[in-house]
Amino acid sequence: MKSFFSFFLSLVSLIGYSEKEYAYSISNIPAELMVDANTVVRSETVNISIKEIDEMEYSFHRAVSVLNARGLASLDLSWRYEPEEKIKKLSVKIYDASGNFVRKLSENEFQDRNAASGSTFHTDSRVIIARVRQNTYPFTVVISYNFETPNTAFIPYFMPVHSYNQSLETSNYTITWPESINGKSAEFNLEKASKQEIGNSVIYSLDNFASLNHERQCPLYTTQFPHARWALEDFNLEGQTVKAKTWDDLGKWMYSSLLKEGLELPDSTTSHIRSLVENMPDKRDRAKTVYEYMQNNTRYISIQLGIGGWKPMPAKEVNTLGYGDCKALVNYTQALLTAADVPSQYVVVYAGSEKQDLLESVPSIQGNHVILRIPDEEKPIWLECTSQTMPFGHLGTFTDDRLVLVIDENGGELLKTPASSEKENRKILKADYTLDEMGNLSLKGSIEAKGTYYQEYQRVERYSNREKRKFYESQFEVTLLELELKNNSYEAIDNLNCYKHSFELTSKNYAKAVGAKESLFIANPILDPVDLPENDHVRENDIYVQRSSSSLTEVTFTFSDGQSLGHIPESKTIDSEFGTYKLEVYTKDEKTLMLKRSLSIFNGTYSKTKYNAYRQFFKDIAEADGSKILLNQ
Amino acid sequence: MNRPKYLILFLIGLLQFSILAQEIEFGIVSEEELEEEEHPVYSDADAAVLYKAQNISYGYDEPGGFYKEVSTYIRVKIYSSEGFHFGNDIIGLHDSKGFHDELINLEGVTHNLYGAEITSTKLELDNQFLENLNKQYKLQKLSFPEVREGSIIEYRFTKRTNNTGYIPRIDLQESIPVNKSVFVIAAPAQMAFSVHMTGLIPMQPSFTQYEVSSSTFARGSYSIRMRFADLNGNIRFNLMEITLDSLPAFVQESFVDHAENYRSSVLLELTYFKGNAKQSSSLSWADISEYFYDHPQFGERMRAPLYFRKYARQATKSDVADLDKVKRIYNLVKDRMEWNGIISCYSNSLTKAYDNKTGTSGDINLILCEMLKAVDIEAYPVILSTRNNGVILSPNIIGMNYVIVVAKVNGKNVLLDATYKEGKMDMLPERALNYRGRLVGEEGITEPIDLMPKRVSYEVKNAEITIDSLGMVSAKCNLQSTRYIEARKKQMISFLGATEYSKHLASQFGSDVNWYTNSSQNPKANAFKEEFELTLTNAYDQIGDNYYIDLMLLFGHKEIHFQENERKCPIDFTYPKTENTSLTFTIPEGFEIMQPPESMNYKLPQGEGGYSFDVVHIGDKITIKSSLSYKNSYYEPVAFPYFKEMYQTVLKAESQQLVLKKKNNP
Repeated sequence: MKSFFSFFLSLVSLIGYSEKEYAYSISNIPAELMVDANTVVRSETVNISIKEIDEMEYSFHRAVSVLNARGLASLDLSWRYEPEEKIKKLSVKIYDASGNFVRKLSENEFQDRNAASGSTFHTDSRVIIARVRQNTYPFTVVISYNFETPNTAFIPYFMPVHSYNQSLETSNYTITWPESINGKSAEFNLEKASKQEIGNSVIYSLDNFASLNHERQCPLYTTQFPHARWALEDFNLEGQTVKAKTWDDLGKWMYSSLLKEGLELPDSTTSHIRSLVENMPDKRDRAKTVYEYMQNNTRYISIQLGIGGWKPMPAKEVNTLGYGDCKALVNYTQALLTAADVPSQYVVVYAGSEKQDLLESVPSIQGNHVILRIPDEEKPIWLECTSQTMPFGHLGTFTDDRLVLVIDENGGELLKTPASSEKENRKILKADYTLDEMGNLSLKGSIEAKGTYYQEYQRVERYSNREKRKFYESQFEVTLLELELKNNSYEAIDNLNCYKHSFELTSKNYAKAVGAKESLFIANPILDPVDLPENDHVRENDIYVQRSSSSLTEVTFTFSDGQSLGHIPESKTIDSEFGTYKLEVYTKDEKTLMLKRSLSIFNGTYSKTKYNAYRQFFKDIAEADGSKILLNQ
Repeated sequence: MNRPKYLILFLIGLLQFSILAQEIEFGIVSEEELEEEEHPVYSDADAAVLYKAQNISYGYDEPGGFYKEVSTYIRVKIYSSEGFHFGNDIIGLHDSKGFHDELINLEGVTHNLYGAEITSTKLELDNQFLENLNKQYKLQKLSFPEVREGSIIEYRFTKRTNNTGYIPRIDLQESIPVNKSVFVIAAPAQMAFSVHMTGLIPMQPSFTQYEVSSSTFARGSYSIRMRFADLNGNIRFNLMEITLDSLPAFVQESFVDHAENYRSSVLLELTYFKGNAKQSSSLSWADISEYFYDHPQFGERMRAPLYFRKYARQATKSDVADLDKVKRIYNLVKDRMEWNGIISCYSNSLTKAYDNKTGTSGDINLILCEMLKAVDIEAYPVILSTRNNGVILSPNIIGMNYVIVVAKVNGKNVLLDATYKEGKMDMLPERALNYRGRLVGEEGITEPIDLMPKRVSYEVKNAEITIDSLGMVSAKCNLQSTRYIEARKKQMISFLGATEYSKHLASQFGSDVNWYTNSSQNPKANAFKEEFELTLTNAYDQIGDNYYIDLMLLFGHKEIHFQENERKCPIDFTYPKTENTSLTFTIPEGFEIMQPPESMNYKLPQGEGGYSFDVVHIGDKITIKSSLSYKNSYYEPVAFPYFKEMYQTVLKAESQQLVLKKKNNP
């Protein structure tokens, strides 16, 4: 009897063991979740408990199977915290492909360090970083920790799927907040998720989410993935109690608590600014003068201190130091503008080349950058204050076309930054090609870049000679032999709205002898070739073109004595919903051929069923661009 | 292989109390300096170091004991707003159990010219941030006030440390031009250093000796005075000084093994300090070998052969040939052990690592060495410096950061590294291909081990190209690669995945990849085989009755290497390579060749390889064969013009057109 009993016991423990330990076996993942996946979230449980306005705790548990090296590269193993916050019981465990426990990361495999890195010069935030060193796939990483914070301004999102090529088996997210405070949410793409509301508590679950495959020009992450964000109407931010039912409330609080007192300037600076703008009746001129003064007298350093990195350094300090982070420089510019009698507004934004709006339905501390706005009935002026070289009134791809919070003494409101049109995002390339009897090329050209092209072309000035040569070569369809670059110069023109390159280059054997040795063969001298979209045999995502743009290329082609035109490219026009293309070719005189090419690309989201047509549009352009000239000699 | 002597070695004894040659006085700048709008020599520089002085000295203090001081003085001129970031600097401070760096006498100032008036603004506490980076390091961050175009900033500080043994690399050259750079080290004659110098600019150290009263040096310590002073109570000091003028900005070239090998810097290693057991005045390779052999985490780890004996003997029969034994043991360790990515030449426990099936490079390769010895193979660890760690030419302990194994079989060296899954016997990972390593044997036995690959890595590409009746050009491609090219491809495929990899191929040819297969499932294959079919977009132009076909499209677009007019650093290809391409083109019916491309070739001198491009025309097929090869992994800068010309020939040949014309109907 005893032996039977012990057998029974061991059977139970065996079952218990196998359930527990082998839950992470890769073979348990449903086949449909493996398609295109680099990682599979096996389970995620997040429990958020907000006990008081200044007391939040949450527990976090997430098991992720990593299927390949890309999956490992996408794994985020860093945890940021502020000095007054605590991360407890942080544990990272590894399981092998069959679900066997391999090991737990030991204490010395976590690095607890200051969070300053790359773009941030100094901060008092800390970050814990771990690294999983594993070369065989697949395996599973199980992460768990508890977090305690007095800050209730930032509540972790419900966002169990973090990226493209990630599948999910099961997830639960629970949030509970005090009865005395109102909670509010912004929810996106939750069709496949379930939601339960019980009093001051909400539970989301999402199960069996098959990965979305990443392709070029995918729609933005936020439009595709299930996620929800919660905020409280009353919250605590590093000891400050904030009541923000509306964006206007939040703006009022930010103005009075964070901004107002820092706007004072020393009298000497105020009078200096006044003298600079003395004879300028136009507000715009005064603003431009102030902006350029600021650019010439400060530099950007990211120093994230003061109420969670939200309170700007006072203008007085920036004035003496000559540097500051984005908040400090915006605040300083505001102070200078006030001295020049130009009212302005402090603007909070999510910056990045991917457009991201502030979430309208959850008035709360959002965004990661600030800019400046000068209100105007006709045309408000928007200013980026962290660049010494940005033209006045220009925002660039970092902050364009998105919902932002605009703050002044009257409160706050959500407004949209201007979108750039195809006419604004424009480049104009002009070149005179001259060919000698040997087929060698000498070229004199210029590029003018505006709008979103501005910064990309401005960067070239700082390139090394080798990088410059590479850059100009990329502007041609063909490889240039023995390319020599001479007399290149760079300047901002047109009231600093346009960046201009002027350059001369020579290349050997540009035209190649072919056929009966009596003809020379030349690739179509079109600058600015298009990139062919990839061949996605079956396109899975819609096509997202973030910004419109246009370009104009004008080429004059002069050949030498003894050469005459054989074949010239045909003129061509392509009209499509994605853009337009026009190539005009004509002979000016016996020795001169002219080519004029204009291209416009329209922004928008296009159905994935149109991918072949989209690709064909670029193929047709490439074909027209690539047609050749034949010279007889 | 001749590696030029960019690093030289000599020995000096030295110590403390040099006085910086203060030709430039801190805090005093001239109006001319401030007015200067661009650098007189390098006019496009955004900023330049006008003066940089670094001074190392030693002292003795009760009760702290010996200390080292590194004093730095830098004066920087800002020419443009792009140079504003030179107004920030970070000073790293070691702060852990045992070692402690203290920052003393930090001062800084920004000078500006406002009108005719020089304004000097001090670096205040507000401009300094002390940050606890982690358990070992603190960072003192400085951001200078009032940095404008034209500003001059200058600062000086001293780092005092009880870590007297280790001296960090001293850089004399910067990423911006340096007008004058001075380095001085002074130490008591009882200390000896080995000095290594890197860079392309010759350095002429000067040496002097002087005496200092022992009470000045040791501040009252009798025992120290007894140890260092002569009968008159004086301590003799040696001083070394290096001065470089007008240094250009340090710029990285392509095909360089490790850029820092070519920056003008000084590396010092303390090799002898009176009072230590070792009485030799310099370190020899035998000393280094002995050091590692006796090291508790190196040689000591290797004296427990019993543990591995049974595993090793299970894996190999005693009657097989030695080379076969080596192969079996190597494959056993390579397959069993998972490298955790940590580069090290040490091991905490070989047995624990073996049981856990994972470990550092030190764990894995020392296990391999032990197991080889257990089956009576003559095997030794070989210590080396990885490519990222810089080349080492003279006896050096701290520079050694990696270990591999050499097995001596039938009088031949077989190099092994079991951390490298793509590797083979005699094929080390690229990180280990760094000139020479050093064998570590008993009682100081050592010998240099040439690490550079001798065997050629091949890439063979065959393509059959056809034009169908609709004018579509397609190419059936068959690629074979070996050794390092094979390894690189496999790594890329495993990282990108098959779909992304075939898109990558497509982008190389400006075409669509219709299908793709490879032989990665077959580890026994001699070469890595890939097959795929391309449909080429815009592959030809039809002008009148002629078809013009761009060969460049078929060969794949090439980056043009070596376009520069001069070369300063040696050319490092990592491994010898041969690339053979054969394109067979079927001429469509009704067409004939109007003009075949021209054959051409270029030979590198001394039979080092070259490039050939040949065209063969038989019946309705035309075959274009090209071959590019170089036999060594490493060339002196004098070889640059030859390589430049070789790559020009490649371009000339492969940018030709193949012209077809319609046959006239008879």
